[in-house]
Amino acid sequence: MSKQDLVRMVNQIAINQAYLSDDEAVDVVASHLTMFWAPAMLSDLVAAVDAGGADLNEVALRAVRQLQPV
Amino acid sequence: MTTTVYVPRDSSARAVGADEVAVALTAEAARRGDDIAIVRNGSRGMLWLEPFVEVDVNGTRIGYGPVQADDVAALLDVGLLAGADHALRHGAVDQLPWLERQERLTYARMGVIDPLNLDEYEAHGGLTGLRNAIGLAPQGVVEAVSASGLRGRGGAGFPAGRKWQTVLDAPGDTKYICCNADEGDSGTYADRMLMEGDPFTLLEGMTIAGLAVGAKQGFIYLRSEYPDARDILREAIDIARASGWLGEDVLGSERAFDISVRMGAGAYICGEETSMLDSLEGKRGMVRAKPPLPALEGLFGKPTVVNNVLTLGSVPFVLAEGAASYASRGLDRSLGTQVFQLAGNIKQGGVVELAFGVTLRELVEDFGGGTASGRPIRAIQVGGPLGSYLTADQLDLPLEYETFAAAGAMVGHGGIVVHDDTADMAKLARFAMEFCSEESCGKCTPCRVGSTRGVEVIDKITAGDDRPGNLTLLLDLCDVMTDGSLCAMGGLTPMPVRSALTKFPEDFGLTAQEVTP
Amino acid sequence: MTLLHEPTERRAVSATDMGTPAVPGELTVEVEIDGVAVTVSEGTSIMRAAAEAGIDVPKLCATDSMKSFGSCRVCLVEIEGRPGTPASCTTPVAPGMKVATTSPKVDKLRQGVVELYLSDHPVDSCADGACELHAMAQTVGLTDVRYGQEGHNHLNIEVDASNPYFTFDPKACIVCSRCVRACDEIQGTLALTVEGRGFESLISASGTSFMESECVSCGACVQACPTTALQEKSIIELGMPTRTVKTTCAYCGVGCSFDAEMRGDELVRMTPSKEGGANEGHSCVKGRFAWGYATHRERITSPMLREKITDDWREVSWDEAISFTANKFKQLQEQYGVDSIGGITSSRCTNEEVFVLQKMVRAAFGNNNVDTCARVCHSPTGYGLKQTFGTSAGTQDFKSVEESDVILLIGANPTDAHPVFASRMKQRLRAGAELIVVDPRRIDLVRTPHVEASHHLQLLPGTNVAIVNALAHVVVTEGLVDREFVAARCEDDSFADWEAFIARPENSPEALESATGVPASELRAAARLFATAPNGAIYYGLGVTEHSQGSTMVMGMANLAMATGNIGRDGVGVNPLRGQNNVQGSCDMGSFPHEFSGYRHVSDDTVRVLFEDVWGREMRADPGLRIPNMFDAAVAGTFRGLFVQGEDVAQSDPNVNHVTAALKALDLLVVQDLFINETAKLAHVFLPGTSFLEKDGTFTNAERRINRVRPVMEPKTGKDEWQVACDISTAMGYPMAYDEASQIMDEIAQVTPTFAGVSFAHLDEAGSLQWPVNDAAPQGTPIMHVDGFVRGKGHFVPTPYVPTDEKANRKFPLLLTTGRILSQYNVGAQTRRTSNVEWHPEDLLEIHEADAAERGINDGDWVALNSRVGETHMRAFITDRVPQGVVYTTFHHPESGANVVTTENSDWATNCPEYKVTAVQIRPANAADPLRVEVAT
Repeated sequence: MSKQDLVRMVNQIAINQAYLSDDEAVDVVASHLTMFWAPAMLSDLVAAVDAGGADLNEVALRAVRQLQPV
Repeated sequence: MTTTVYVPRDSSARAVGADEVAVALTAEAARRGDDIAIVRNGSRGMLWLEPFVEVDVNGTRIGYGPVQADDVAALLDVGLLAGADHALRHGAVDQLPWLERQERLTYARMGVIDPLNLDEYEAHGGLTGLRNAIGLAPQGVVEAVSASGLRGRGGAGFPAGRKWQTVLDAPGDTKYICCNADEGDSGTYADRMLMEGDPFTLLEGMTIAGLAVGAKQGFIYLRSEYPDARDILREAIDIARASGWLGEDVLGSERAFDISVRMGAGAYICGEETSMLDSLEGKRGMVRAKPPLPALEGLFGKPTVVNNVLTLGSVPFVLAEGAASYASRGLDRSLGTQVFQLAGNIKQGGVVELAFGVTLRELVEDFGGGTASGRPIRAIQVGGPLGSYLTADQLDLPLEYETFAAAGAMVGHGGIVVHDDTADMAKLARFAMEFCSEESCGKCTPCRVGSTRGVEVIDKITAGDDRPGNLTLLLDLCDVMTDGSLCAMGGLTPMPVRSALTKFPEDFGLTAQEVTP
Repeated sequence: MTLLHEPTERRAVSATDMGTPAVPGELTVEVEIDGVAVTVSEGTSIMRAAAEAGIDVPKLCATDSMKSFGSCRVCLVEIEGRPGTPASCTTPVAPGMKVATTSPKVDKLRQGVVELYLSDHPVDSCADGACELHAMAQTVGLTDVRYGQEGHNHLNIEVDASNPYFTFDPKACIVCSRCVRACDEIQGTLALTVEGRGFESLISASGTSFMESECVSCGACVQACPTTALQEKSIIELGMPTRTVKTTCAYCGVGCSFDAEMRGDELVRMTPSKEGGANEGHSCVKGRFAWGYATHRERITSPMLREKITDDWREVSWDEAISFTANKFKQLQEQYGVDSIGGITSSRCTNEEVFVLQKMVRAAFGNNNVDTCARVCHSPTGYGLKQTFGTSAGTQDFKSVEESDVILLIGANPTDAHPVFASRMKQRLRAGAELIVVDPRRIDLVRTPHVEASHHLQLLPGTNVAIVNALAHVVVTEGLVDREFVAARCEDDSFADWEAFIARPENSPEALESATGVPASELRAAARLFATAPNGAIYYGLGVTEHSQGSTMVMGMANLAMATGNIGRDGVGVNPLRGQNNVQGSCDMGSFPHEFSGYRHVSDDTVRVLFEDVWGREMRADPGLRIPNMFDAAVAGTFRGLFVQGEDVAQSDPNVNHVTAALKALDLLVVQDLFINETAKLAHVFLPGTSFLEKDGTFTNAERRINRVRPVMEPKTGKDEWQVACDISTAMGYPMAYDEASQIMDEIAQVTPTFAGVSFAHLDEAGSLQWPVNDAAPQGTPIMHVDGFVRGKGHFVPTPYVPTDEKANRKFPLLLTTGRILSQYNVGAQTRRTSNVEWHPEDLLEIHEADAAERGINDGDWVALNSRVGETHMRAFITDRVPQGVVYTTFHHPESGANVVTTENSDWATNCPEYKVTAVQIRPANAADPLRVEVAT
């Protein structure tokens, strides 16, 4: 799936958790991704991050990193 | 020294040249250097004498009439301002038998004062009733009205005190006083004359009603054909507000009451109280089914006193002079006075306020002077276009609610219309149906369709088309209208029809036997 | 002379008509009517008391759906000890009253009244017994009309046939005002009146023709008419019905119950059912009249195939279509993997059809790639209410609004989109409830006859969350929180966090004023009004959900309702107005890629085991693709086959050019529908669907009400729609079979706790049921969260306002928002194939005068509408309904292509598209439409 779409969506999820501390927000974003995103989307996102150049915000990036063991 | 000259501003006087008379007086007096002040008073109610000019001569008012603008110069020439003799002179007004024999309670100030002069109003006893009412608890006011025996003057004759009590007892903070000033009955004009000639009396009566039942707002639903009354009422309301009588704090009582005037749209049916309420609410004027009574669910669904102009106009007297004084006049259950209006084919048309119990003969012959044509009286219709026709044989009936009802007639709003022996009673019966068909609100079937069929069936009878069959049909129709109609409009229309039919069968080409059930 | 016609049959309505409405109340009165003792509630009319006693007092103007009126005078009775003959409809009972409903006197009066009526009524107007007046003549024993008909009459007045669905024939009118009263008391439009007075009184559509008047063609007047004066054209053409089938409307989420009235196998009339829990006898122009599409000539009833979308369609047998589809799906999975195919369920189909389709995906496809069109409308509702309350549904029944004191209406336009509920709401508003409207556009309810909103918070599109935060900020900082409710019913911790968050200065009305465009003072006043109401209710629509913060907004409203104690009783609640007939149901049925039926996550082992046991297949624990993800994956080449059930994604989904590209990239697109819609034009397999008139099943409306849909005719396709999914599934190697639809519901009940007590038998007996229906609530649950929230304690979620990326800028200075119009429905597939097009032949772009003038645009001009993703053309309609800077349109016609310009932006939590905010530019244009050109190729 297009990297651009995935990045936009995960960043948006992260921004909407701004009322939380960063640590809490990372957990919420990671959990949201696991609950609602198809595995293929997750793996595409992880791959995009790994490949570098994905413009993720801080919380989103940490959440994606947290997913990586999956 | 300034001489006061009274020229009525009542529309009945204006219609026959009162304004021109006033202009001529002003101009002619100025030309001569006479120092006069013209007061546009209300009418005394002697309509055959209008324009009826009065001159104040050392405190005595000398009357002249009917005066035309052309007469002014000659009158001044002979010494009008000194009360000099002239063919049009009638003498001291308050000694005229026509007025002296009346008992003017509601009309006490009529023609006497400048309608918009509040000081004069008070000088002639105005606001005494309201001040007394302020001193009483609401229940006390209602009891006074109940004890006076005052009944609704609009036609139905329902005890005013009982209606007020219902509204007083009804729960809720928002209540209304609605004055029915949609005076539509043929031959009636007493409401208009009071509103034009002594508007403060009506406003005072409404204010007393408001304090009595706990209403803060009053509405006058005024007939669209009364623009003069509208202007005078609005001006009177402004004066009353400015003087601290109407508004947030009525004469220092710390209670609020205000009044506004709403114009009708020219429908007779809006004189029916529930139609009037619909119309006041901005809707098409349609009769409502009762219950609910307007006293409980009236204007905008709130408890509402709906009274006629003369009813409310009688209230200040009751509160000023006491219920007992009012109740001491009249007969049986018809207490106090009624303002009768003489009209039709009559020599001396006008307003006669007398205690209930006066006979038709006294009114029509003594006050009215018989027919204008000089021919014998054939029929008299009392109580508006839906009233029964009475014959010359019934002239000795006393005007009193129950007696009239027993005779199959009604006092109604006190209008008396006289016909001489040239009247075609079949035509008049037909007119009753036609009037109903034009003025029906159209809601209920007996009135909406029945009145139109009534005209047609009467036409068939007078044309000789199956008279027996159509007579039966007409009588059946009268039953359906009487018993089946939603309101008095359709319900009473058969009264003139039946009375014409049974008392004057020959006009329909029928015999007395045929019309006797 | 005899002017009577022998009627063959009375109208069905009058058979059960009690004459006047029931009077609620505990005080009772005992009366005797014709010697029969009967006890009724205080204030009941004599007429109704008689009906309760089994005595039918003759009546023409009275009907139990409207207040008594007292005009016809055939219901007169005699009362012992009282003078006269009062009308039984307007006279209330009194204790001990003895009433005679017949007597020589009243019998003769009734004859007299009917005789008057018939002197001005056509003799031949009562074909098939459609005229109550002629029936009344028989009832009262009238044999002769002595007046004749040569008198003054109305027998030469012309018929008004301007409305496409019904005629008004003044000749047959008896001026009973039932139509006028229906328009006032039931519909609330007040389009009708009586003009003239006396004999000249005539019913008038505000002085013009019905079509040109304010009439919304709801048909309440037609239903109310006791004669043939107002009559359906279908009845005139086809004759009176001979039997009825109770069923449910297939348009919006109100879910009106109807009697489908049949003559033989032909539907001749749809009459809203008084017993219908959602509509109680009312309907709108769509439900009552716009059903002709079901037999429209463009309807496809045979399966069709083609190898390539550029090929011509080839009509094939069901067997061939099914085996082709199954083989191709299997082949794609073999070639591209199990996850390369998926399905989309339809919110227009029955619960049973949806359930079977999602089962096909989960069990036969073996993945969770199933989604539903609710994705693009109310998915944020499901998410938001689940988070806060614990269940993905509205809290109230519709009737609840009758107890509301203040109604907060956000992003919904009920008079157009949910007209039958709107009528109910309007009646409540007219009775004194106050209204706060939150909408960028001045919807009708802001000011309409007898209704005026106390506040219209005319916010800029995209700032909902700012508004709800500001409202809540006022509640919290002005001491308006219902502390007792919060302490008893909500979580202490989450409330404390939320309270601290919402009290921050950044959430104050003053701080947000520049973002929302709503004056702080007005917002504060609205907040106080809502918070201090005894019963405050929130109703909302897609103007809430279809935003980048749709889910946040739903949670914001839930927070506000909890903080003000407005949950768990009549008159309050958080109430989504669902767009389609079965949005609620399709979501309930497990159409989301992450949830089984009953909103249970696929990762829940217990739930999965349950399904695996019943279905005999292993279930996947990870969520599947959502609709927009499917399109993205299709463009990326990993998603190859899609089954679309009754949905036109190529017209209704945002960024149509992107959707089209995705669909074109598929190896297999299967569309099941009634018509060749925009999506089907790109399909390889077309499987004909059934209309609601052929379906046997259930729809679930916005109030969680499960209504029966009953077939009035055999499937025109020769196959029930659920059977098709079963057949494909079976052909793919997962056998699925039911004898009838009721067995599917039985399986739903077996695997879904909230549906545990639902069966066709129970529904048939109860009429309808609102879920949850289970042992704890065997007769269903009209109001939710009464004693506690489904999740236990109410959960507050802080809702930071994050402005959308879709901002007006120099290139695209206007914000486009979209909505629906009364006569049309969604993409118009149904309504465009009915006479409803007469009201709305094309979509128009509403634009403010100043914006139009700046661009040299006149009313009616063609304009080009551009966003960063596309361009379309439509005609301009200059209006002050929209503020400067905002434009608005509908999306009912494919030609207008409103969704060509909408973007890929979506709700952060659910990917529900941000339809309601698109930055656009507008310029004068020629009529030629670029979209139309593209789709045709």
